[in-house]
Amino acid sequence: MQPTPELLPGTLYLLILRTLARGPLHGYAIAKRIKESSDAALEIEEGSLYPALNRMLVKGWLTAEWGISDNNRKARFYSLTLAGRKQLAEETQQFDRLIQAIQLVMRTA
Amino acid sequence: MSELFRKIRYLFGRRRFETDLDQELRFHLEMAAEEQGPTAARRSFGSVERMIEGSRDMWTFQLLENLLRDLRYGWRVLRKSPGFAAVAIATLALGIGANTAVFSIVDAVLLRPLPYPQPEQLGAVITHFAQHGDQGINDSVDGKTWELIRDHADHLDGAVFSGAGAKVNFAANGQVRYVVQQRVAAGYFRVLGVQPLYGREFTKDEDCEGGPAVAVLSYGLWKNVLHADPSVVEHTVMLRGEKFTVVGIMPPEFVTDTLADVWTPLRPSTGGEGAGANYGLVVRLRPGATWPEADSQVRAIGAIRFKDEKLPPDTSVWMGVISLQRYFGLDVSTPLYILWIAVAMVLLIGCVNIASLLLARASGRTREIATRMALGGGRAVVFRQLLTESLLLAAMGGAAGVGLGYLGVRGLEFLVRDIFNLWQPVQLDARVLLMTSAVTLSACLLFGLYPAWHATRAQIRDALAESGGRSVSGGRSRWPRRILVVAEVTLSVALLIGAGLLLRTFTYLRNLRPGFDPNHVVTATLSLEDARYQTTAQVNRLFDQSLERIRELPGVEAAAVALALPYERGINDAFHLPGDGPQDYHMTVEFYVTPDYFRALHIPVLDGRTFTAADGPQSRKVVMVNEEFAKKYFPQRNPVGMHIKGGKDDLEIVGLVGDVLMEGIHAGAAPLAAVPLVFIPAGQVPDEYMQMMHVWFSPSWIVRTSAPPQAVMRGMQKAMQSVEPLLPFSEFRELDEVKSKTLGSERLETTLMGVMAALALLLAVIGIYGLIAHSVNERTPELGIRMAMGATAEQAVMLVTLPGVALAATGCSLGCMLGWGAGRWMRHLIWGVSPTDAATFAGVAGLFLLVAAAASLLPAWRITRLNPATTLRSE
Repeated sequence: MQPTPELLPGTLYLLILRTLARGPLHGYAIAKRIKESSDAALEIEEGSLYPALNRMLVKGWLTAEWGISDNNRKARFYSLTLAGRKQLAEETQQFDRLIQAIQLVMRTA
Repeated sequence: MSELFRKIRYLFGRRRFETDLDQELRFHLEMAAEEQGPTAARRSFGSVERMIEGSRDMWTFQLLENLLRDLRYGWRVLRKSPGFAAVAIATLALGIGANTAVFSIVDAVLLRPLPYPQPEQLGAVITHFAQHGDQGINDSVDGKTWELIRDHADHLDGAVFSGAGAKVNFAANGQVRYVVQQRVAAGYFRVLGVQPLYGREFTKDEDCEGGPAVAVLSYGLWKNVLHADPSVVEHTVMLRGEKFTVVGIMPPEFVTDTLADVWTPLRPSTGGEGAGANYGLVVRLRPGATWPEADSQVRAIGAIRFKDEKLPPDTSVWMGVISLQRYFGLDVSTPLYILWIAVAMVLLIGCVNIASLLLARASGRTREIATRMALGGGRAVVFRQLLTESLLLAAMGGAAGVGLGYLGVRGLEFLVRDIFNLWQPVQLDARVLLMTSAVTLSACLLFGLYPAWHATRAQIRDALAESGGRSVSGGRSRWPRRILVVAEVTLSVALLIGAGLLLRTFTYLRNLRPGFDPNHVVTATLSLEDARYQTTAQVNRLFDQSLERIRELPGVEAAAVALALPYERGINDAFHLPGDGPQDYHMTVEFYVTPDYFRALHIPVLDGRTFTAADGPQSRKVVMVNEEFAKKYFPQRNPVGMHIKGGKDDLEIVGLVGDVLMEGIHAGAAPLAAVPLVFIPAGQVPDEYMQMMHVWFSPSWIVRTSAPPQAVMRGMQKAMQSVEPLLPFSEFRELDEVKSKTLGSERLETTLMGVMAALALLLAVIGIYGLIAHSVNERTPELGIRMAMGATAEQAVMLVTLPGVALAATGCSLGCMLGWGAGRWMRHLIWGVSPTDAATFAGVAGLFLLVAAAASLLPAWRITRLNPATTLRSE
């Protein structure tokens, strides 16, 4: 198994926000979606995912509601709040700038 | 803000949160099991605890909760070893309590801002002098200097004042009491920045020769005797039998270090009292000026003042300004700082001891700590937890310390009240508590930081692999504790040396040959600062009549009056030797005596004669001198028959007597010493000089008697009453009491330092004992093997004892070096013994090594009872 590349600090929040931008998901689905979208390169551990989700609830970026999952089970669905969308936009911009800068360095230096 | 709100809502919906989280995780694990198979799900299971904890942590007030959890944990740990906790808390409580008590004294005397408006603008003019590399300060100026400062130092607003003399008789409103009178110049209260509550302060017209008799009263006196009646201003009160008009009442909060009840005008002059340095000079910086400017101005004035003074060789003199706060604490700051350093050192030693105990505990807890770190408690978390344990100890020790300090400060205040002149209230106020908290916190860091760092540095694998005490104990891990023990031995040896030097000084001073026979002598004192005793004739009539009555008492062998008793101080005055130029002068201590003085005290007359009743105002002026005077001014010659000049009078030396111990008053003089003395016959003192003397000094009646002292005192009081009903003796003393009083500050310093040093010794011994006891415990299996292999019990005992003695020896040598420095710093307080006295150093080192050997042997002795078979079986 290829080792999971380490996430840049703070990017976990960004990934979750982005994943939820398309609509509410439960925790397991979030992890799964991130893994699939990254071609299995990014695997989010449960030990990081749930503390992060709770942190974002505290921050007011997400809300959580109990609903029914695809396989008819009771699951907790997370969705973005208005503050969460704002945060996503802000962090995306910052992230783009950071990546650009890193790429610039990698190319020229 | 909303984040805080959500967190608070969480606090109330905690159970709901827990069930939500639980259900959510269960759902997650089921999904994982379904989609990825049971292995993957089980892998996830490992982090369930982290998921729950991590999620919960997000909602809590992290820092606070962690602190509470650590405190709870620390409390449990401490409760499990109550012995350790008790020793640590008791050590801290003692150390912090002593520091709190001493600091509240230091604060009251040296640090707390003075109770006047803008106290930082207040200062005092002093004279520095340096002689043979020794520096000193004279806190008084003479009349000439005062006039120069008044007229030329335009950066300063100044006023002169005198110290308080004896208590004087005050009568008003039908009440009579003894009060403290201080004489101050016009402007004194203005300079301090305090307006009278009623009335006014002295004017320039009142504060000059021949001015009216006016007085300002303290609030306390006004309230207690005059019932706080404002109309008393402009009315008269009786002071020393004279009428004084009250011109002002000071406000209740006004107080100076003199604690005066009545102020009268000083009337400074350049003659009489003002010819010598007898005035204090308080100044306030004028607006716009700075202290360095004022200081250089005063220095320049000083240069002019001393330009024509003839100074002893190798002496330089210059004037300057110091803050009024420092001025008030001049005499006491060194002893107080020494005391402060001593208690701080005891606390430091206590902290080192606790650190050493913590290290020992940590080595016993290695497995616990390693296990917790292996289970994922981060190093930082464990470190924080260990430090919290220390904080808990420090907080409990600190709280107990404040309690002890509160009790201790009252006792200490009582002990030092007369010696350190506690004129500002001593209290455990916010300043003291702040200081105590700072001390507690730094103590905690001092003893907790290193052990916590040391414990969390442990390699998890090594610690877990090493199953208990099975291996030969690692020598390396013992070094930190050894260094701590050396450090505390060093500090306590230095403290012991300091205390030893003070003790040797005190013993030396106590055992000095007095030069007279102090047994069977009773003395009585009264103040003659009285309107009815202005002339020498009046004074001598009182002396003659009262002595005559006293001599009639049964058992009285001799009776005399003298201005100063042995062990007290006389007047410092200038005189001229034959052959001196007009600018030359010498200083000596002098006082008047009646003829029987030498017989009453059994002072040996070495040559010539003593005074007789015939040495009166009309006859030739004569004096007597002591051996010390003869040695200094007439070396290799007999002074009897020589002449000296005092003022304008030619004085013939008619007798030479042995030395008598007096209080040393010259800078650099011992507290008790044989000083050069000139005795003047009471009948020949000039009137003005007699008056001036009685402002500062009260004469004492000296009676040698074979009768019991109590009966003699009653008889003396009766005799005095029959001659002078208005002036009862105010104090009866035996000469040992006079000596005790003069040596009071030395006794106190020695006692306090002795107590501190004993505490330090005790703590260091506990430290050594603990170290050896711990190493014996730790090495029991190893020693068992050694003994099974043929080592004798003696060899095993030596093996564990020697390190203790070696550490003590190292600490002793370091401590001697530190003590050498301390001795040099304290050299102004050490008499009759060198600050590097070999006997003291060797004695302290020897005592310490002996005690250290005992403290090491005691726990090691258990080894002799060790049964190798049992020890090995328990492996």
